[in-house]
Parts: sequence; structure tokens; C-alpha cells
Amino acid sequence: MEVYSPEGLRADGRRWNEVRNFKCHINTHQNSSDGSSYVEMGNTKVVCLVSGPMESPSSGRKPNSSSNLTVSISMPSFVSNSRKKFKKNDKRIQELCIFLVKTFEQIVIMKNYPRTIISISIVVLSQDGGLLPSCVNAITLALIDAGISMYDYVSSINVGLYDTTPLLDLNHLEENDLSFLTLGVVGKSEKISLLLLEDKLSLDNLEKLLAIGIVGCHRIRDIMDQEIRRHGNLRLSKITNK
Amino acid sequence: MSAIETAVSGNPKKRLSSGLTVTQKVFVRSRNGGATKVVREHYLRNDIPCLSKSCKRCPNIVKANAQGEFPNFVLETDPLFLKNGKIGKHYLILDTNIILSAIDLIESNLSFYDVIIPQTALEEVRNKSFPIYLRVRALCKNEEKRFIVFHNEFKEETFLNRNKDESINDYNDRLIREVAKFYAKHLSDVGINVVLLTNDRNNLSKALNENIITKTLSDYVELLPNADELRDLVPSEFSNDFSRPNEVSYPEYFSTSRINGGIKNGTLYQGSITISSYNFLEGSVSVPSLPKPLLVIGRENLNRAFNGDLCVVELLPRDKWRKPSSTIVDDEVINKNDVADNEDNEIIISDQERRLLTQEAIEAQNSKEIQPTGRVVGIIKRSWRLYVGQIAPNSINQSHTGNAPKSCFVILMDRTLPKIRIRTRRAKELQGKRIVIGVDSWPSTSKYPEGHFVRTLGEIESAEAETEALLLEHDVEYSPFSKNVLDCLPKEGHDWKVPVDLQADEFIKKRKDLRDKLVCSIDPPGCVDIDDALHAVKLPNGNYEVGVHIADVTNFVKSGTALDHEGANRGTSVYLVDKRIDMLPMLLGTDLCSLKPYVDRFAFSVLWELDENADIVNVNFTKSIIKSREAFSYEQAQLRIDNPSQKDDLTEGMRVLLKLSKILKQKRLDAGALNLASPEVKVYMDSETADPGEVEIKKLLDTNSLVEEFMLLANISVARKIYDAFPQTAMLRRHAPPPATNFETLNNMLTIRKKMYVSLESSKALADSLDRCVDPEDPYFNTLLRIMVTRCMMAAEYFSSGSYSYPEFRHYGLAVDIYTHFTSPIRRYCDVVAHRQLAAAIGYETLDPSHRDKNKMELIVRNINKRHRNAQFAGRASIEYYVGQVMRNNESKQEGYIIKIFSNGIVVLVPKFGVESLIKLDQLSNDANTSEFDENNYSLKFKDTNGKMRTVHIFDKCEVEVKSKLDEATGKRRAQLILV
Amino acid sequence: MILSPAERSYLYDSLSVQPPVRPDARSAHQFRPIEASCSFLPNSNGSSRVRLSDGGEAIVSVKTQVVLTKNESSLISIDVDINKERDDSNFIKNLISSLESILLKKFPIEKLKLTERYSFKVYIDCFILSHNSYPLGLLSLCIYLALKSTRLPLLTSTVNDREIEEQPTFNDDWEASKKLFEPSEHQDDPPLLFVVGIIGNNVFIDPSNEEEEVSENGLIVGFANGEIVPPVQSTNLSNRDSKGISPKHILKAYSMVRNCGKEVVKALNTVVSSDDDVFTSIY
Repeated sequence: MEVYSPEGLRADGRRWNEVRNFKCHINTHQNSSDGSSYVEMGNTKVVCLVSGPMESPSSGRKPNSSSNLTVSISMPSFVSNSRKKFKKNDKRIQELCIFLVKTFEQIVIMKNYPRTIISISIVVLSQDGGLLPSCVNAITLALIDAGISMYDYVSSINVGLYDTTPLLDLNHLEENDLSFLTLGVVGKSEKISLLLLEDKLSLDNLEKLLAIGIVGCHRIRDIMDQEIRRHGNLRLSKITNK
Repeated sequence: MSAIETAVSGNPKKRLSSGLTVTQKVFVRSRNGGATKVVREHYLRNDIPCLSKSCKRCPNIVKANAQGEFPNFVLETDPLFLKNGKIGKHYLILDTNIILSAIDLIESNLSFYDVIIPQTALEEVRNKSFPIYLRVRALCKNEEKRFIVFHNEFKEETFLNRNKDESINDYNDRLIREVAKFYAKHLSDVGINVVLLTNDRNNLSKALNENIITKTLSDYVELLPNADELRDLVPSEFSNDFSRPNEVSYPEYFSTSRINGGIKNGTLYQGSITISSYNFLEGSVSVPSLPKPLLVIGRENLNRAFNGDLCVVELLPRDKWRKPSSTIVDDEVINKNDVADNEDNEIIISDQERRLLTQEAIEAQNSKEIQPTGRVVGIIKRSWRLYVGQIAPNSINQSHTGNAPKSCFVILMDRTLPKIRIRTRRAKELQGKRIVIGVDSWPSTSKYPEGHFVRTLGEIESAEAETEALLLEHDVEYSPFSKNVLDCLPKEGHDWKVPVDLQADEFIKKRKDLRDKLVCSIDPPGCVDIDDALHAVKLPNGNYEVGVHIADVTNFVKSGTALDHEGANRGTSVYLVDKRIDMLPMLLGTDLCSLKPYVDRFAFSVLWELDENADIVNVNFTKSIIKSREAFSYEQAQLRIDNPSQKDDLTEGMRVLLKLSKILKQKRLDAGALNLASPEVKVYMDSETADPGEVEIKKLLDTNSLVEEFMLLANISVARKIYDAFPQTAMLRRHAPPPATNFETLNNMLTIRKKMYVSLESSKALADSLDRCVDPEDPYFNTLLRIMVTRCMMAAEYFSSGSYSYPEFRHYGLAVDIYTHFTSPIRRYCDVVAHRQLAAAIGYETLDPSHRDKNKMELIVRNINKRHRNAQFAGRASIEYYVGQVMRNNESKQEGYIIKIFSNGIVVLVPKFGVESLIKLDQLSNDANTSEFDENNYSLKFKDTNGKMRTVHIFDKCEVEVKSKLDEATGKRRAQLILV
Repeated sequence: MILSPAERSYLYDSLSVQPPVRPDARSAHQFRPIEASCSFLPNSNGSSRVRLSDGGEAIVSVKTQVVLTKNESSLISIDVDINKERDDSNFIKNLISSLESILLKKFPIEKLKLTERYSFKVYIDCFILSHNSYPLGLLSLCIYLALKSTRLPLLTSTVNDREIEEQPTFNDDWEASKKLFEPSEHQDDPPLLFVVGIIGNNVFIDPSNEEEEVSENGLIVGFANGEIVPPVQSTNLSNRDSKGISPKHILKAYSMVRNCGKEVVKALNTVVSSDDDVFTSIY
């Protein structure tokens, strides 16, 4: 397979600036959580459950000292093709969790929730690239579903570089082949609230990657916004119909 | 009316936006016996253009790429018109097999313009042969040929789901037919037809049923106006009237699953096969689980393997094992009726028994008696390429006249390969010419492989034909540089000058102005591509400043340009006796980069401070500007140094260099550097007639070694620096110590014949023991031994530092711990990479990502190693050819040495010409039956042509008559030696 | 769940009357409504998701691997993972051992045989997203569905490789794969486990969290192809002291499971045959 053909098509048939099939739902687990969401980016599928804000079990002892927003990620063994089992304390996953906590502490209006905890749990059902962006998007949606006050949406996507062409929203095969960065953007702004680059990338290319990345994030935000509004209208109609 | 509505079963689709639909490709990947379900997203779109200039609609649907460029519409409005067959104006669509087997024909300028390559076919080609894929991609870039890739599987209109129980081949064929249908309909209003070319009967008849204009390749070629020119180029498997008697039947190859199963459980082995250059019916395959290569003897056991094929072999049962033949077998010896190799029926041996057999084989190989043998049961990868050969005169049916194509045999220059059957109408015309052929197939019922004629190079033995033949045989790229490449050169051309303003830009500011240094270059006479120049001066503190200045090629060859790709691909310049094939265009090599005297040039300098002992006190690397004061030849430099009346600073500097170089050399030898020899000779061309004049053994002067020592020093210093800066990807060169087994026979012969031996504990021990191996009665013996030792050595190789651990970096021959090539960037690509890495290491510029990426470096290294090897072989072959020509006019008696002994012949090396040749027993003796071969003492006893008994031993000096003889079969001139 | 003594006593009383009055008004042999879907995990041979009305939810994936039969002690491997819980807890170990006790015994192993030497090994990976009541019944339903939706690649190389080994090769078309449990052959369905709660003289199937809290005892009953099969285990559904089981309870439970089981299997099979694809939203 050509990663990116001279005719400008990627191995899966997308052009350089196209996002994969993005699908999201909120309020998917109303009986087992305070806020929930389900996000699909191509064949990457994650579920997010939020519990809280709720009383902190240890609030008496150390008020406000440590973060009261927690994130955990579960990767069942069927997620990877080799059935590799991810321990809960897997370093890579721990790293992602810390990263997500840092991002959402800035976006949730934490001062509204003193002495409470907000516990976020991500379950990955299927992984085909763009794991971190899917988590970010799912958390944003689930927090909104839980009614937790936030400054704005955070939407996220990854961008890779093939030769001199930036490619938006990489799948797993592309992630293996290219160096890429993940970024998260606040609302419709160009404010980057999250940036992760783990490969080498020459500085000259950074700008165009960020530019297309921001456009991609806005596109994701719009789809998420539609879903929130759809769900809101649904609830509203239920109330008014009564 | 889209195709989707008619698609039968298959996967669900989801519309994402107006032009984009997503579906899933689900398939099973069998790998290593496993079966994994794989799911990939597959996006279908409606913005894929037909790329025909006639089309009015597609220009409205195209989308730009990231650079804002729109696709070029390349297919002509007025393509080839064919009245015959009622085709009219048409484009061509090729199926996979046509591309794979007829790529040479497709590439030719004689035909095949306006061609549509379906994505389906391209993908299949890519999976089957990556080089052919690259050639197709190159065709798509070639503006004249007008080739396009049509991404049919991404276009909603032309994508089809796989049907139930449809094989992948049938599915792909159906996809390709869909392309033809789409184009036919799409272009019907502009009067352009499409012709689908396929040779698959099944596909052909289906296509005809679906009203697609479809032709086989040969039928299509017949319709062309220049059919006569093209007919012979059609690969053989397509010639439908090719009738061939079932001469033999080779065993069928095993199924893939049986091969994989066998390799996995250790009962079958995989390896690249080497056909013995003395016996074309004997091959060997290196097998990791056996201590020595496994022998494969006989036509049937070789089972259609070519030299270099990646084969799968199995062990034969014990009663079929035998000693390796100590006989020489030539195609000439084997007459038409094959050697008896009548295998019994298929032998069935269970895996259990096979494992026991392996054990026995290991034991047998360790003992010296009969050796286990194997047979080829499958071929994983063919080494087929284009071959050069000539038509075997006796294979042409002379009585037959008329224009019907006839089969004849082509004997290849590479004698380890079988003759190839081709079919041509021009056999008589091609007789006595060097021709290029391609191999197409080797069916199990055919005794010889089948191929097709590609082109002719010219008369046998004409210098042009022979030179081109040897370049082709060694895979040397010799076509002129393309326009893209030449466009990368400075616009000023030969008028380019070092800028006057040294503050012009940030790069030139970083250069050191060394024009005040008394720099000179020393090279072979007539050298025009001057890579290196030197200077030395005594410092006030008593130490010396020594500078080595190397042509700054990377100033002109920037990473990622077409020029850089071309250089990277060529890897090295190739030096033939009468010709040089440049790695970089002439303008750079012989002018802008070349450190010519009296003009300013950019250089990359290594500056040392050396003490009296030639120990490095300090080393500095810098980009610089230099002005060479003089370009000497080795001889001129030597004369100037030796002339006591020359007292100028330049000469003094050279004397310093000479003095230091001698110390450096001694230090190197003390460390165990090897002084090996090769029987290389130089051919002098008569300057007027351009005929080869005389042959001379290469002479070495002190000044040769002066330059060499400092180049080594520079290479070592640079190697350390770039390894320091790029521990994972530094471009280095290593030379592995030779395995002891390589020396087994040689040491055995030495002990028995000369009571000597060479030690192998270290390079130092080897060097010392070589010095001790002197035969007082024969001064040449030591050199002979050095030649033979050289042949037991491993080849040095380029590598990137991440591939080996530091102790393995060692260069055995030079006895240094780390080494690279830095000093000849005009003619070697390794040096170009080293230059870039060094420039980055000293902060001159940033390093291109491709030289920082382990995988990409691996690709570069693999290519330059291959190119380097081929260049050496090509150079030798060129000398061999010219030596042959010289000998033709100088038949004489010469001194020779016996370097190999077989039961039916000896191999003699003639140092004067650097040639070696086989003398067969029947040439030594009229009565071959009287000969006695003593394997343990390496001697052969025979009754010579005068009827006297004579015994010859290995290492014996002997008088031989040297003649040059044209081999009738191969058309190759070879030295013929006659023992006097 | 913590119940007040009043709640506890009310629940206990209402569940021990004849017939029992269950808090959600179910009859004794009635299951809670479930929501289920199949085949939505792209990289698994079979998959399923089952959600109970109380929010309990499990996802099961079935993956296969080609193995040399002689190297494997078992061709079935079961793993259970509970969201936010340690993977080595006793609770998980007990769940796995209960599932193994029925699957290893009652699984039609011969379906996994590929050639003389090779077999498929089936990996059943269960993930419990959330649960309120004892999740064994939920898991069992989910595994049943996942196995029923499992497809195995079609072998194209020879089956007879006793003498000369061949590496198995498969048809590359996923559409050509065969279902592990063909819908036609009902006698070979995968086995199921049912949880039965016992209070007083009453037995009732699929106890909810509250019912478990007041149960005096519990029974796990195996069911396959219309019949009760081993294992039959007693279990403590609550922290209360167990009161012992009488044979009467067991017989009651048997007949209840036998009747319910057939209904459940029928219901589950309709889920399988609706055959979702990767684009059907599972939420």
C-alpha cells in the first residue's frame, strides 16, 4: 500500500485533509454513570464514564492539596491484535492519564468544585490510531453530559507528516509509518490546550501541521456540538411533551 | 445508476458527506501459519478524475493537494488511431500480468502511449515486484509516455464488493474490467475508446462478453503500424502458438503451505543458491542449521534454480549423498543427452525421519567423507533480471526460411546460468551480436527457461557492445543524466565562481578562508576529478599543522533533490579501462567540485596539529575556501620531493607530509594493518588508435602512500566525530575478521606443500605470519600467497552505526577501531552522507531527516554496498576484456602459478596479465585415463602431450603459453593457457 | 448496596411469600430486560455486548489463534477484567473458575480442530464495564452471544499433515469464513450459566442487586442444549449467613432453569441472527 500516492490519496482513500468517520453519542450509560459518552474515530472506539462531582472520600484529610480530577484508562486485552494485556499501571497508559488530567484541569472550572472529586474512566474498545484524541473528545462530551461546568469544548486530533505533506487524523498504519503530533484546541479558538509530539519533526514543518490540525479540531468540535444539541433537544422535547 | 446498487453481497457502506462514503475492507491475513482478521477502513469518493484532456466534466471535480496543486490531465485528446481491428482512437488499460512480464516493452519509446494503470493492478505489481512498481511509477512521471494511475478502488463509481466465493484474482480482474467499462462510457461522447490488454484467457473472455474491447498483448502488437519492430519484444509466455515438445519434466515445486510448514519445523531449508563457477550442475545453499553449505547436484535436483535465487531445499536420503565433485563441468562437456539423473519416483519421507536425517547430515559434514546433498523444492524469489548473451549458432534452424518466428537458444555471458529459449523472426540477423534478453518463465516441462529478446548491443567483441554488456551485467546505471537531475546544477554552469563577498549569507560566513595555505593535490596522471588536496606547515611550537581538503560536493548536492537521488542510486562512479561512469554530472565532478589548481574552490577541511610522532594533538573540521597551488601526478610530486634544489615552501610542506606519512604507515603496520595483494594490472591505451597497448602491473610510489595515509587519517578522524554526533545513524565502514574456515584449505595446502601456515588469531598475527611465508627460491611466492589470502577475506562494508555494536565497527584490514569514507565525495555516495553528517556535527547546517533515520540509512547502505561491489566487478571485467584484446596480439610464453587443482584440470594464474584460466586434463594429456589425482597432496599426475609422465602440485611455478581464444558459445574472449 | 433493616425485612418478607413478590414485579422465572448486540469489534472473530436494566454491562471478545494442538493444555482460554478493579482479585478468580468449569467441559472442542496437527485456540476476553448484581449470569449470556457470532477463517491447505507438516493457509476472504456455531445445528450450542436466588421456599432466576442482598442462598446452574448440565454450585450471593439448601430447592431450580433456558436461548439467537455490522451504533 502506498502511504500517500502521488495522486494525493492515502492508503484508505482519504485525501490529506480529511478526517475519518467521526461518530459520537452522549448519555450512553445513564444507569451506571453521571455522565457518559461514546466516540468513534474510524475504527478507534472508546467509551467514557464520568462519576461526580461527588464527595471526596479523603476530603477531610487533605483539602485541595492534590488534584480532584482523576482519569483512568482501561485497555482490555482484546484491543490489541496480539492480545497484549495492559496492566492498569502500564507506564504508557499512566502517562496518557496524567496528560489528560493536566489538560482537563485547565478546562473544567475547578473552583466550582471544591472538596469534590470528578472521576473519569475511559474504556477503549478498539484501537486503530488516534487513541489520545479519541480520549480527549470522549472526555469533553462525557463531562458536558455530567453537567460539569467547563470554559469550552476541547477537541483533539493528530496530524502526521509524509515527506512535506501534512496528513490529518492518522490511522494505526499511518501512525506506525510517520512522525506525528497530537493537538487539542479550545472551542473555536486557535488556543492549543494540548500538544504531544513524540517523534522527530523538523521545525519548518511544525507550523503547517498545527494549521491543518487546528482546522481538524474545529471540524470535530462542530460534530460534537451537533450531537450535544441533538441530545439537548431530545431531552427538551421529552420534558415539554409531558 | 451507480455501481453500488448492483453490488451483490459484501460490506455495509455509510455516506459521510456528499462525495465521501466509508466502507470496511475485511480480510484474513495468513502469516506464519496464523490467521488474523484484519479490518481496514476504505473511503470511496467521487472526486477522482479520468485525467483525459478531452474530458469536460472531470476538471470540475478535482481537488488540490496540500501544496495547492491540481492534478495534470495527461491523456492526449488525440491518442493513437488504429484502423485495424476497428479500434480507432484509444487509450490502453493494462492488467497486472502484462505490467509484470512486459515492463521492458511498455517502457520502450516505440509504443505504449496514453496508458491507464488501474490502482488494482499497481497494487498487485507492488506486492509482487517492488522494482517493477518503481518503474511504473517512473513512467507516470515521464511526461512523454503519458501514463496515469487511476484509483479505481477509491472511486465510488468503479469500486466493487468482492463476490461470494470469488478468488482474489478473479476479484481483481473484475475490478480492472470495471475500469475499462467506466472509461468506455465516460469517454464515449468524445470518441475515444479504451483497449484492455490482458493475457488471462478467463479475463479475456469475460471482458469480451461484457463488450469491452480486449486484446492479448501479442494481438495488440500485431495491429500496430510498427509491429515488425515490436513483435520480438513480446515476452514468450504470451505467444499463443508457442509449441514446445515436453522434453523433460522437472519435479513440481511444493505448495506454499508445505514449504512454510517445513521451514518452520526445520525439515526444509531456505537460502540463496550459488552455482559453482566450475560446474554449472552443482550448486550450494548456505543453511544455518548445517555447518557447511548444502550441496545440490544435478539438473533435476537444482530444479530450475538460477544462480542467486532464494530457494527452498530439502535433504535427500542418505544413499543419494556424495562427495562434492572435484571435476569441472561445463556446458560444453554436457552434451544434449543429460547426465543420468534419473530420480526414482517421489520419495516420501516423514518429518520425523527428516529430522534424523538432519542430524546425520551435520555429522557427515563434520567428517570429511561423503557430503549430504539436497534438492530444490521451491523458489521464493527469482533473481531474474535482464541478461546479456548471444544466440547459439547451432540452435538456428537454417533450412527454415520465411517470416514465421522461430525458437533459438541464447547463451548467457554468465556461465553459471542455463541457456534461454527465445522466439524471434530475426535469429539470423542477430547472430554474432551481443543481445539483451529477459527471462519470462521456466515451466516444469521445459528443459530450458523461456525468455524474450529485448534489444541488441552490437557486434560481439566490439568495444561498445562489450562495455555496454558488462555495465548491464553488473547493473550499472549508465544512461545520461536526466533533465531533472541537470536542472539541479548551478545556473552559472562552468562560470560558477566562489563568491567574492564572504559575508553574503549565513553559510558562507561560517567558512574558513584558507586560501593563504599552500595547498596542492597529488593524483594519478590525467586525473580530472580531484577529490582531495593537502597542505602541511611547521608550527612555531615544533608541531605540524596538516590539512586535508576535500571537495565540498554537498554544497551543490542538497538532500532530497533529484541530483541527490540520482547520486544515491548510482552510489559510486564506475571506472572502466576506457570509460568512466560518473556518479555525479561532469560539471560538478570535473569542474565545480574538483579542487583544480589556481582557482578558488569550496572545500571541507580536516585540520590537525600533529607532533613529531605524528600523534594527533588537536583536530578541527571546517567548511573552507581553498586555492590549490599545483596539481601533481604521483610521479611529478615524487620528483619534486626528491630534487634537493627545490627549497620552496610548497615542496617543504610536501616533504613534511611525506615524513609524517611514513611514520603513520609504520604505526599502522605495527598495529596489524594488512598488506594484501591483488593480481590487478593496468591497461594502457594507445592514445592514437584507442587500442589497448600494453598491460602493466600497478606500481606504487612513496607519494601514493603519502596521499593514502592522510586520507586514512582523515577518514578515521571524521568517523569518530560523526559517530560521536550520531551514535545511531553515523555512516561508517567496517571490515569483519575472516572466519577460520575460509583458510582451512589454504593452510592445508601450505602445510603440505611449503611447511608454512598463516595464523589467524589477529590481523597482526596474520600480517606477521604472511611476512614469514617467504620462499627463498621464488620471490613471487609471497605475493601469490597474499593474493590467495585476499580471496579468503570478508568484503568490507558500509553500515550505519546503529546496526552493530562498537566492537564490531572494527576495520580488520586497516586495523582501526572505526572507519568511514569521507575523502572522495565526487565518486562515492558514502562520502556525501559522511559530509552531511560532519557538517551537521560541527553546526554548519541541519541534517536531513533521511540521514538521521535508522531505516532510511539502512536502505542507503544496502544500495551503496551493492553498487560498490558491482562497480568493482565491472572494473575487473573491463580489464579482463582488454587484457584479452592485448593478449590477442601478444601471444607469448609466460610464468604462471598453479592455484587450484581438480581431478580433471588445473587453474593457472599468470601474474604478468593478471589472468587466471583453467587448463583441462584433455588439454594437458592425450591420454586422460593415465592421470592420477592425489587429493591429499594437491597434486595431479598425468602423461603429457609428449608422452612423458609429469606431476604438478599446487603452488608450482610453470611455464605457459598464453593465447587469447574466442569462446564460440558465449562469444567471450578468454585467456587460453597451454602448459609448456 | 446498603439496605436499612426496614428495607431488608420488607424485601425478605415479600420474597418469601408464596408466590414471591419481587421488587420490580417480575415473576420468579422472569429475566430482567437486556439490551444486546453482536459483532461490533472490528478486530475480533466474534464479539458481544449485553447491558442489564440496572446499568450492569459486559463486553466479550472472541479471538482465535492457530496453534499446534500438542503444545496447548487447553484450547479455550477465558479472561475476565472488571473496570477499575484489580485483575488478580478473588472475585475475578471465582468468576473465571465458574466460567471455566462449564466452558471447558461442555465446549464442542472438535469444532476447533484444523488439521492433524493444528487447531484454533479460542480466547474469550470479558470486560465488565459496570455491574451491580453478581455478574456471572451477565457474563454467561454475553459469552454465549460472542461465541455464536464467532467466525473462523476457512482453511485452504490440506487437513492431513500427520506425515509431512504443512503450514496452515487460509482463504483471504473474510466472507468465506465459517461460523463456529452454525445456526442450523442447535444440538451444539455453547453452554450457559444461570444464577438462581433462594429465599425461604422460593427460588427465583436472575436476582437483582437488592434480591441478592436478602437471599439466603444462591445456586449456579449449567444449561446446554436444552438440558441441565454440570456444574451446579451453591454460592453466597450476600454477606448473610447461609441457611443451607434443601433438595427441594434444587429440583425447583432445575425445572425453572430448564424452562427459562430454552426461552433465553431463543431470545439470544434472534440477537445473533440480526447480525449487526461495524457501522451499527452499539450505543
